[in-house]
Amino acid sequence: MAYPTEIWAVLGLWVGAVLTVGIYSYMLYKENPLYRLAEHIYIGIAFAITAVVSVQNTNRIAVTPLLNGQIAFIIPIILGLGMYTVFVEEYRWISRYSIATLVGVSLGVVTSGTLIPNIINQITSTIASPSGATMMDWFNFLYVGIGTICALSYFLFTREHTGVLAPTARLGRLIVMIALGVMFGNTVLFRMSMLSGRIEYLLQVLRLIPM
Amino acid sequence: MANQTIFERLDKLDRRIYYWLIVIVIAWPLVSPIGLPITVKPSTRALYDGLTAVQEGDVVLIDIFMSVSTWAECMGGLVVETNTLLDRGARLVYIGDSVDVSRSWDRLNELVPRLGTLEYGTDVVFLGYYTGQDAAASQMAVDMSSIFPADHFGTPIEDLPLMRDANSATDYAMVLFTAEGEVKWIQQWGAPYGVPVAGMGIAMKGSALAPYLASGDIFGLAVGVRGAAELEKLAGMPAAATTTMDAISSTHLLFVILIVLANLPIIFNKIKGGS
Repeated sequence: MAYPTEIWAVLGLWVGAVLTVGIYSYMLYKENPLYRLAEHIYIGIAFAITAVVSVQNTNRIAVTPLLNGQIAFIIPIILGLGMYTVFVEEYRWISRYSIATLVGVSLGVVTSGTLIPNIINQITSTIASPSGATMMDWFNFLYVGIGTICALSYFLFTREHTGVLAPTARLGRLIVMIALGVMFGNTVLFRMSMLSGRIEYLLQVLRLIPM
Repeated sequence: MANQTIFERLDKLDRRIYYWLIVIVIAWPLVSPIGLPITVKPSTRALYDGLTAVQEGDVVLIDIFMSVSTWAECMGGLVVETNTLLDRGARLVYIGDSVDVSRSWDRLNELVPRLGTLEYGTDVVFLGYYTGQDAAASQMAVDMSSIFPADHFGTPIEDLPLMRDANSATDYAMVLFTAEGEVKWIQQWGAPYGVPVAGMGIAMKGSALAPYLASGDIFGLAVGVRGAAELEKLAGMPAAATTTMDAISSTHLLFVILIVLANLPIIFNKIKGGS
């Protein structure tokens, strides 16, 4: 992709670059006018995009079919509008029907789908012997198996962590800490990827690297 | 000041110097790539093998659960996935659970120009934004047109030839998630209909997705920008993710050095018998 030549496209690139610097200026120079400007523009645009896309989506999925004679779509539209009565104290009770429907449907759909992948398959893969025959496969199998039992014992609150439960709970806590460490490491990796994306963008705007 | 040790001086250093150091360490490899080696993880290879096993004419659903801010992490992988599937002659249906999905679609078209040369509606379709998580995925599994009466550009779904062959879960060869939103596909398409699910998660999702990989609920997984770089290596098309990995690896090396430097005084103090 070549560097744009149209004035509006170049201007757009530079606005993006200035706003990026504005957002990151918070870390370097705390709250400052450029940061505030960038933050307010970001919030405003994000809200505007969300509002427009949501209205378009509602129009496409429900309003248009209703206007084309699919009368059943009046039900989700009424339930959706009912959500907004939460802002009017006198009619707030109406929103309960909408919320109850939403919660009920979501719970029903998720519960039916979660049983096999999140419970049965997870238990099976934890207790089944590894498919590979290498030492590492067996180490992973034992680590996951013992780790699961120990981590569960750490969260066993109906008995005091003494006797047999003392070492398993302590090991469980260590394993939970290792898992949290891995998650933190992955989070750092993700944040650095985002930062590198913005730095790459700035370098592209400055024509130090190709677009 | 003169009596201070090097560790004490480092401890009192303005933190902005560290921030600028990070910026420099990221920027340098982007301007002048180092070319650090990239090893391919089995989970990424499984994903790539799955992509190359797709038959000509198969329909693949690609969920772009990726906002503009996640491009650096996942766009490289999405480009490789798209190119690999197009090489195999697959027909692609794109959807997205992020409000700015249309911008991601535009960017994908810039990075994969041949998407624009395909016959829209027959070889490729962009249905656009959807919401509703599991409930939407569950409904899509039985009737795609009820969630997408029209595509992103307003064309009625019945006017798109590709969608006549791909209106329910069983019509699809696989589902690929991008960044996040994988659980609904596992729960609503993978488990009940046996549709193979795979994709690429942001780095934060790596450990959360590992159990699904171990249980076979997803057949492959590329994690973060590293996964994207691995896919680029497997496909023989090194691009943005490969360069970014140089920057990421350099930054992590800097972090390790800084963490060691920060902990050394504590260790030395303990060795000397301090509290």
